[in-house]
Parts: sequence; C-alpha cells; structure tokens
Amino acid sequence: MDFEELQVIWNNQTNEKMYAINEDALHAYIKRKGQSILHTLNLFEFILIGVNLFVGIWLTIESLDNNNPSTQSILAVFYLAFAVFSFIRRLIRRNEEKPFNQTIVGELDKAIWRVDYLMRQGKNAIIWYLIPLAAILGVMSFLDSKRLLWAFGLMVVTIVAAYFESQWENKKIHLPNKRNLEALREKLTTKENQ
Amino acid sequence: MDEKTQKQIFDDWLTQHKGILFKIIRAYAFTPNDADDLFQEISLQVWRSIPEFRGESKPSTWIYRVALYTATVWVRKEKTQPLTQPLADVEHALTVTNRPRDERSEWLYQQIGQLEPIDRSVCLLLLDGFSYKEMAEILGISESNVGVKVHRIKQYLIQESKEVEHHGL
Repeated sequence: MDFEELQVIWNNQTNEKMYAINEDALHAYIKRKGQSILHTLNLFEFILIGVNLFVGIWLTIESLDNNNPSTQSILAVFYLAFAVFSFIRRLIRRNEEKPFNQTIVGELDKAIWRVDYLMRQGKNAIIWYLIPLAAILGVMSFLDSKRLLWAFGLMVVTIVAAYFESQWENKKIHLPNKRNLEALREKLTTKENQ
Repeated sequence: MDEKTQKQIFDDWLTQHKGILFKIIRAYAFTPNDADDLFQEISLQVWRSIPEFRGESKPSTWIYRVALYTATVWVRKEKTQPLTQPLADVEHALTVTNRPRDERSEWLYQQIGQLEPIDRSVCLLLLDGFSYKEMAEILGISESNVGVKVHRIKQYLIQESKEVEHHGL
C-alpha cells in the first residue's frame, strides 16, 4: 500500500462517529479547573506582595506609636523591602516569559522555564526571605532582652522544614516533570534520533 | 476577555473542530477512561489558550498545536503517574460510541499508536495534509527536520501496510 492509499483511509474516517461529548460534564470540569497555572502564580505573587506590604505598614505605624521603635522599624523595613523585591521579581518574570514562540517547542520551552522558575522560587524564599528574617529576629532577640527568642527559634525550625520540603518537592515533582519535558524537546528537535 | 466571550469561542471551536480533537484522542488514548481524561485535559488547555489567540493563525491550526502539545505531555505523564482515581462514578465528558468502525482506519490508528508520542504528532499532521512549512510552524522545528521525520514515518507506515496486506486488509 502506498502513502496515498493510507491517506484515503485517513480521510474516510470523518464519517465515523467514534465519540460523544457530554457538554454539561465538560463545562462543569472547565469551570472547576479553568484557571491556569499562570493565574495561580499571579495570585501567589499578589498575596506575597500584599501580606508583606500590610505587615510592613502595620509595623511602621506601630513603631511610630512605640517608645522603643528600633525593633519594629527594622522589621518594617525588611517587610517593605521584600514587598518591593517581590513586585520587581514579578515584573522580571513577566518580561522573561514573553519571548516564547507559539509552537510546540515554544510551549515545551515555556513549561521547562516555569518548572525552573518554581524550583528557584523555593530556594529564593529560603535565602532571601526566611534566613534574613531569622537573622534579624536573632539579633533583635538578644538586643531586646531575649523577648523574641521564641520567634527566632520558630524561624529556624521553619527554615529547616522549608529546606527539606523544597528538596522533596524538587526531587519528587519538579525534576521528573522537567526531565520529561526536556526529553520531549530533545526528541522533537534532534535529527540524529531518527 | 470576559468569561462569556471565552465560553462562546470555546463552544464554537468545539462544534467546528471536534474532529481534530477526536483524531488526536484516538491516536494517544487507548481506553475509554484514558480518552475521557485526555479529552478533558485537551479541552481545558484549549479553553485556557483562548485569551492568547490573536488570530495570526487559523483556529484549526491553533487547536491542533494546543491539542498535540497537551496529548504529547499527557502520554509521558500518564506513563509516570497513571490515572489512579476510580472513574466509575464520575460523569464522563467523553464516551466511546458503539457505532461500527472501519477496520482499515482502526488498523491505521494502531500503527500510529506504535509511534513515539512526538512522531504521532508529526504523523497526524502529515495525514491531515499539512505542508512541511505549516508543520514546521506548528512544531517549532526546521522544515528539513520535518522532512527527515516525515520520511521515516512514511517508510514505517508503508512497510507495516505491506506486511498486513497479505492478511487481507
């Protein structure tokens, strides 16, 4: 059989009613899961910016009313700085996402980039957020008659837990996913595999 | 884009181009549950892609690209994380009909199903009459690379058809 005959077989299948769609069930599913990963990422970033901004402003107001404002004002600056950092990081992410072209290779590149981004996020949260916060609380707890020692201890436990959680997440979810995507990309783009 | 417009476009696309989705599902999913799962996943990705559609390509080309990408990734995910949720009580979005099927197209799909997921994408585009240029634009690879893949797939299909011709296909 030559290829043209195979194409005739292919073209004749249009009359085959292979499947039936249940539109109500489909719309219910889409309604449940319709928001994209990008939407979740946007929401996460807005929450991160909002919470840090709120805590920063609240601590600033508190420190202005307080007799001993140094402790709260240092924390306030940290939270406000992190809110600004998160906002800038969001702008960078949005700019970095633009160049992916609308092809299957482009989709794979975008998906790989997002996995990398999620993996970096976990590491960055520990290095740029939890460790500085723990360091500030540690210094302040000693300066402030060890009143904040419990908070410092809690932060250390959180850092250790966050580190192991992030390692587990990378190993079990993100890395296998990334390897799958990279294997697909390799298969699609490499001629030598033929 | 508001949700009402998005739903309108989605419903139009589904009505006009469901044939594309059915072909892809048939080539990538081999059980009724898998077909339902893949159909839902593709529909979801098509839905999410609507706000990004700028009309630079035909809707059919756009849907083909989104659906092929989704199916290719779905197959690999399915290999590593097979569907574990029991689907008996779930309302299916897609069901397989009992209509009689053409033996020859059934055979052709079986051959396509033997290919690597990426090659299945190329094969479907090839059989649906896309040019090398269009295929290169959908896949994101060079035309010469498309040519190499197409040549190998054609050889494979022709070879397989010769083997079964003796059995009266």
